[in-house]
Order: sequence, then C-alpha cells, then structure tokens
Amino acid sequence: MAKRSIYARELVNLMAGHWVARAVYAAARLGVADLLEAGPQHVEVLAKKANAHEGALYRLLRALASVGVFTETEPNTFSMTPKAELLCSDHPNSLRPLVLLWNELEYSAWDDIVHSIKTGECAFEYRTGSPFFDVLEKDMESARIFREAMAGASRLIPLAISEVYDFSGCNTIVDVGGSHGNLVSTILSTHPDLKGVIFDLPNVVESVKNKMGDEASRCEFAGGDFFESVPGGGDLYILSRIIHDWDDEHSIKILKNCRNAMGSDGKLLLVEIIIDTNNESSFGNWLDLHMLVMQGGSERTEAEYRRLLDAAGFELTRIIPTGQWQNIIEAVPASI
Amino acid sequence: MSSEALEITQESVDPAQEKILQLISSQWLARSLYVVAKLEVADLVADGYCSVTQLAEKTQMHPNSLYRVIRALASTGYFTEVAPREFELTPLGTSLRKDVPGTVRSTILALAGQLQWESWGETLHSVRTGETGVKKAFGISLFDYLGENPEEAIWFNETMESSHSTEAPAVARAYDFSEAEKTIVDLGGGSGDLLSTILQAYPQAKGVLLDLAHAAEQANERFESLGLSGRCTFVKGNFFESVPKADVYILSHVIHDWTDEQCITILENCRQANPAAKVLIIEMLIPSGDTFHPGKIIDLQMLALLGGQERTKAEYAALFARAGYTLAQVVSIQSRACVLEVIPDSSGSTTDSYPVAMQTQTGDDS
Repeated sequence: MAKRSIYARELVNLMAGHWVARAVYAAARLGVADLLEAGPQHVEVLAKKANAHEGALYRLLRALASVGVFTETEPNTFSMTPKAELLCSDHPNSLRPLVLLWNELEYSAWDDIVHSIKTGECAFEYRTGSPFFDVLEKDMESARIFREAMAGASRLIPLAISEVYDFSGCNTIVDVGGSHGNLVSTILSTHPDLKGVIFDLPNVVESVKNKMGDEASRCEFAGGDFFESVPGGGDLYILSRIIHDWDDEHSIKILKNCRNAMGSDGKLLLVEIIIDTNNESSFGNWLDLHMLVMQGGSERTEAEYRRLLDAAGFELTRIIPTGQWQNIIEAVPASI
Repeated sequence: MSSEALEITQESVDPAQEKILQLISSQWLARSLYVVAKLEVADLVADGYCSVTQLAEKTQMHPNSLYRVIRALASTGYFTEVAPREFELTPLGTSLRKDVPGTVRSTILALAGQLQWESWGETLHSVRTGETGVKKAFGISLFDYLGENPEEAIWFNETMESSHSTEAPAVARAYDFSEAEKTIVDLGGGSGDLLSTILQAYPQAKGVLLDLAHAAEQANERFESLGLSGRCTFVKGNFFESVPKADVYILSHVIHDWTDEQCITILENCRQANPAAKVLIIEMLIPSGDTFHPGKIIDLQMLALLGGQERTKAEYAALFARAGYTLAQVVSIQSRACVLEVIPDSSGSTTDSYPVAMQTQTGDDS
C-alpha cells in the first residue's frame, strides 16, 4: 500500500506538470511578469491591469509562487523571482514567446498525439489541415512569436558556438535557415576576418536585414528555399536546429543541397540535440515527441545523424559539446 | 572521434531557464503517459511483448513513433530499454498496468485525457472570468460531462478513490468516533471506502452513505462483502436538497468541489436534519506564503474543472461561520489532508472551551 501510494503520488505530480505548464502560460499571456518589473504589486491592481478575475488570478499566482515562479511578499502582493524574470517580454533570454507558442498555436495538436503514434504523421497538420510552416507563412503574428520563441530559448547558443568552435582557415560562413541572424552576427562580432551569408525564406530575410548591427557590412542576405538550392561560395555551412524539424527524406534533400553548394574542402556544422541512447537525459526526448506532433520532424541519436549525413554525401567528423542542450555535429564531404 | 567528446554537459545552461523549460514541457509527459495507458502498453510488455515491433503490431501503431514515446518514458523512469527497441517495465512502470494492485492507469486516463486537455486549454478564460474551463470547452458542468461519458466517469471515480485510499484508516485512527456510536452519515461518500473503514473500527456505530444513484451498486457490494450490511445502508439522494438525520456528518473531499454559497447550502441541510450534529470535513489546508503544497496546484484543477476551490484555515473558518458553524479543531491524519471538526453554534456546550487548541499541521508529508 505504501509503495503504491508513492508511485501514485509521483505520477500525479508528474501529470500535474500539465497544470503547472498551463498556469505558467496564463501568467505569461496576461503579462504578469511585465507588470511586476517595476516592483511588487497587489493582486487587485494586477487583476485590473491584466483584465483578469481577481480571485482566480490570486489562485494562479499562489500556485506559481509555490513552484518558484513569483513570490508572495505580503498577503496578496506578488513580486518577481529569477524564474519569473524569464517571462518578461524584454528579458534578453525571454521564454515568454516560447510559452505562448507551445500553449497557443501548438497546444491543441498534442490532443491528437494518438494520431501521430498511430500513423507517424504530424498531429498538427491532421488537426489544422495545414503543415506547420505553411501556417507560419500565412499568419504573421504566429510567425513573429515563433521567431522570437526560437531566439529567446536559444540566445546562449550563438555565443557558445562562437566560443567553442575553431573558425580558423574559414572565410565565409553560410547560415542556412538563419532566420533572425543572431548566430551569424554573434560569430562575426567575435571573428573580425569572417564574412557571413544569412539564407532563409525571402520574406524572413527581408525582415531581418534592417535589424542587423555593425556586422551587416560583412554580411550578405540571400532569399530562397533550401529544398531547391543553397547559395554557393561559402566554406562553412551551418544548419542550426533546422534538421530536427524534418523527416529523413526532407533532411537529406536539404543536406544534399548544402553538399552541392560547397566545394570539396568545405565543412558542414549541424547544431542539434543528440538523443542519449542510455535514456538518461529526458529533455531531448520530449522535444523529439514535440517535433513529431508539430512537424513530423525528430531529434536523433549520433548513429542516426551519421546515417543521414552519409546518405547526403557527408562524413561525420566530430561532435563538439557546447555546454547547451545542443551539440555541434561537424561533417565534411565524403571522400569518393 | 574520442568518446569524451560525446559527453553532454549542461553546465552552462541557465538554471532558471532550464527549470522553466522543464515546467512548461511537462505537459507533454502527461500526454505521453496517456498514450501508453490508453494502448495498455505496460500490460503488453508484462505479457512478454517486449519489442517495439510486437507492441506496434498488437496496438496497431506506427512502430517508430511508438518507439519514441516509450523511449521518452524510459528516460523518465517507466521503462528500461534492455536491448535496442526492446523494453522492460521498471517498478514504477509496473504501476501503469491495468489489473495490478496499486494500478495508476485510470488516474492517467482521468488526469491526462481529452477532458483535461481541452478544459485546461481554456485556462486563460478561467483566470479572466473565474469560470470553469469545462464549461467553456464543453458547455456543461463536470458532473454532467461525467454523466454523459460513463467510461471517463469510472476513471474519474477510481482516481478520486485511489488518491484518498490511505486516508480512510488514518481518519479512523486519528479521530475518536466512539462518542458517536449512533449514526454516521457520509455525504457524497462514493463507493463507501471511508465509511466502511470507520465502521469496522467502531463496531457500535451505524452508517448511512448518501450519494447519487450511480454509486449504489459498488457501495452495497462493499458493505455486504465486509459484513456491514446490518448497520450500514446506501441512500440515494442529493445533498443540495436534503440529508438523512445523523449524529455525525462526514464530508470527505466534497466541500472543495463547490463555491461558498453551495457549501453553505450543504451545511444548512445538515443543520436542518439535526441541529446538534457535528460535521467532520476532510480537506487539505492551503498553507500561506510560497511553501509548496500540492493543494495549491490542485486548487487550479478546481478552477479549471469544478468552480470549487482549496481553502486556507482562515477561509474555512469564515465559511463555517457564515453557515452558523464553528471550526472546533483540526486533526492531523498523516496525509496531505486533515479532519476539520465543525460544530453547530447553537449547541452551546462547547462554546466554553472554544477556541480549542489547534493541532500542529505536519504539512506536506512527501
């Protein structure tokens, strides 16, 4: 009986994670962290400003405070904690856009996870009738949240890559699917001799162009579709968290286009989570299921990346940890 | 390539960021447990269908996708991958099986199914308005929903019962029912677990269980099998309308389902039936401050599903006062919940001794 109670309790706690996640979402959507940035606030004031029900908002914040998001400094008065700061819109590593993405556009697809497991197809398309990236192309607000979510959740990745990877001997890097341009601008800012190319869909590149800082003079912007072709002229091609969005067939197409664009002495870097085959680290596994549900993509093991690269004419040379969830997977054109 | 290069370190990951990412991705775990529970994967593994190929064939699922779900649950401790794409159950995973003592399958189906997912999809509406997510998502109340979905109702009832199953003996031990050797009435007592446990410990006491018709069969079977039929009966009824006469009323995890006004109606019906009867209310008390207590999270479940709420001791005392009752003492029962002994104001005899010293709460026992 005692054992059963422990397991049941552990399990209920795990499932209550769904409720906590939704609570974090409600606070993020209502902008509570932004309202608390200037200092502690009474819940009555917060409810008015956030257009919420005072009693319900109090219960929400009390529950969040019990898991370290916000703190109740005086009865009914809440203030910030380090975790809550990450929900502020203007925090450099803000997770607010990611929380909104997972809980709005992406939430309902998880209702149909059984469909994904049954068919291997993505639940998002089954649910909404459109592939994920098609929705982003049509819905500018969702596209903005998606870009900000990816940027906020990975703000530390560009810095980590520019620190751990040795760029010597390299002249031009091409960031394939470079989106907001953070990776290229960070690498260029610490490597004054490098030039960069940001390659993404034409409308994405257009919106990024104007936001580039001092590094813009060493940077080219190229619009296109990586399923058709990738710009030539680079000696280092980077695909940062792109391949995990796609199934093997699509991934190989992108990789082959990179292979065709580069010379035989070029290099390719994939920045991706590597699934731990001992099943000891779980976050990558959850993201893996999220990729399945949303896009039909997947997180992969080292062996799976090796096979994928091999099929596209590359040879995996090394894996470099970055101190982030993601690793750098380096590959070179396979010798014939 | 050296093997050290593969060691994945996460030292530089911002700890606050990591924590938030874990919090917000945990909803996917709930949904994955649901898939495995629904497909009865744990039972199949226990029956020897260990490889993903066999499991996918049995459940008619897509092998690689099923593999990815089970792998994710293996990384959370439910399965072990003993050979590539072959799984065994861990002790924790064994509890996912259907017909084992301590099964948690119905708990998963009740807490991570469509009802929960869609009701919690309306969290923002609940926080904006104070209305339940169930109402917004399905247009009806939780109990009406369960009435229309009998399979989900069974999971739901089993979940409620199993999550309180250790409480019944604790209540029988912690509270002295010997002075109440007349009639104990358990309002909303479900299948009668608590009432029958108390009656077994107090052979002089008589019991009445009041609940909606759907609970009758299970409760009567239980009373019969325990030889309690002679002094324990099931009465079909609705505590918002009227309640049978008793010396002691029990409301175990009932009050938190309802708004203050609805709770007052229940208590007034108790007073109507016997103005001198005590009421024992079994509920969690929400501690103040930022202290973690599961009740604070379950409170949001009340908001999403029922329109009720978890309450602090002060909130309970205020609620009872409005109904003409006084909170006389709080008895710890070595559980997350405790027994609130509530006496009618007009009974007079106890007013001299009030306030009774409150027993210290042990808090969360996890």
